[in-house]
Amino acid sequence: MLFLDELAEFPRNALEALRQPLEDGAISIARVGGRIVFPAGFQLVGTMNLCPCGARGDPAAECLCSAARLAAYRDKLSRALLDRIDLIVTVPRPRAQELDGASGEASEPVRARVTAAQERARGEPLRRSKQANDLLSRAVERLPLSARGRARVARVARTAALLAGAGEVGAEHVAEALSYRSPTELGAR
Amino acid sequence: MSDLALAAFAAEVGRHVVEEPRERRFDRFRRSFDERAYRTALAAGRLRFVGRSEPEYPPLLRELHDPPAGLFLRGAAGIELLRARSVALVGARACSGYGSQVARLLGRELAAAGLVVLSGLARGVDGEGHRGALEAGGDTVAVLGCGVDRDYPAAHSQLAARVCERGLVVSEYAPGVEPAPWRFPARNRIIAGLAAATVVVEARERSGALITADFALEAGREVFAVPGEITSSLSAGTNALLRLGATPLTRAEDVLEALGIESPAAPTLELGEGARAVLEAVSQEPAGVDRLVRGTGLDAAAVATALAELELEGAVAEAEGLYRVVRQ
Repeated sequence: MLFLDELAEFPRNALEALRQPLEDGAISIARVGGRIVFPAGFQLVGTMNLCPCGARGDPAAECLCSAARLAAYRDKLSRALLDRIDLIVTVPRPRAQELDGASGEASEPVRARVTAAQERARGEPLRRSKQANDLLSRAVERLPLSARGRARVARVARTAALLAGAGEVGAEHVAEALSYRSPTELGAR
Repeated sequence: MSDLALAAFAAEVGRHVVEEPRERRFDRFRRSFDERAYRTALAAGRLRFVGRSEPEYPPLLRELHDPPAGLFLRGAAGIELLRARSVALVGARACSGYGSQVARLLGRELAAAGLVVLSGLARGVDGEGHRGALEAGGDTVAVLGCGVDRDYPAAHSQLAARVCERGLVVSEYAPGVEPAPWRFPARNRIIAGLAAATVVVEARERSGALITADFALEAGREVFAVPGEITSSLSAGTNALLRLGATPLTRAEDVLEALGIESPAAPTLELGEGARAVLEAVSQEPAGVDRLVRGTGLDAAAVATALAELELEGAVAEAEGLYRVVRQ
């Protein structure tokens, strides 16, 4: 697991260097003396704010970032890198009573669910229901969704169905996958 | 006198020139100016020019006390697009998620009602207004504060190309003129001058969009302001406009009514039970997925399905993690 806090604060070339290992699970370094390939299989997790000052999206704060500064910040993540990130979630600032609320699910049952899903993933691949296919085609028509974006939504929908223990990929799984697209703020879908 | 010579002279000396200058430099320039060659070069770059003394010059623009000597045009549409009834959508470049959604919504609905959506191609509100109009398959015109051949900002060159496909990019400034801060207020007078009404979506105090609103008021045009939160400095400019007597805009029909245009009947949505419950919750206040799960009693998968349905119907949109109703 590679966790990068404040993703957009890293230099762009450092972020771009992640593309190859994300794709191949390996890093190859070429020097005069030859070429060495290191294993680099990892899951990338990153966090970032919606703007450099961090106030954007927070109703209690005032964002003072200029349009140019905002654009430069968001341009840090290239479209190619965003295309390789499967799940993007925007987290609005929680309210006090929401923080006080009951804590979420414990990790143990989640682990059991993930293990079971991984087990099922090794079996026969799940098919998409007719409704799921319809929703996916409608999404491609109506939303700015690239070919790569469509493939990603289909893949994430399959994972959602596996986690739910469903027998096929249903419309609700495609819908859930659609909600993890990169947001408009990052300029890509 | 030649309007084109005046425009070319302004580009040559890097000044804002509206009236024929009484100076030797201009006389010399005019004597050596080859209008035929200049027009040939324009045509080669697929650009056009319409001068103040020509009958095709937009009549609303002529009403300004300092109408530009002429406009350079780029794009597929004919010059008559500048005579069609249009509405200016202007506002902050660093706008909020709310501002960009409102701009997109208004661009879409005003264009769908047959109005031309005018703006300045800038980031934020301007760009969203153009995008909304394009989404509706409507007409949109971008007015630049630099040479007509430039895509400014560069990040919007693709948007400019899409505007050109069926609309126009226009500028008072000849090809090659660099963008400069002092040119933008002058550009704003053209946006306000071409438009029958100006809508300010989100603006800080002392924002360029307020300059556009001032020009519109001066020209006796309708000015609308979209109300915003009183605690947000991004709404300080629009709320100040409202205090000064601008018409509050709460739906696209407000503009249509003021211009005496019948609003097209909105298609009714056929929604599932879950989608209706989520729409009801979102219309009370913008909310993220977690809050919708708690508020509606539906599980996360049902909320996701409902949101996907509503988003595809164009009823809600997400920005900064919050879903909002974008169609009334």
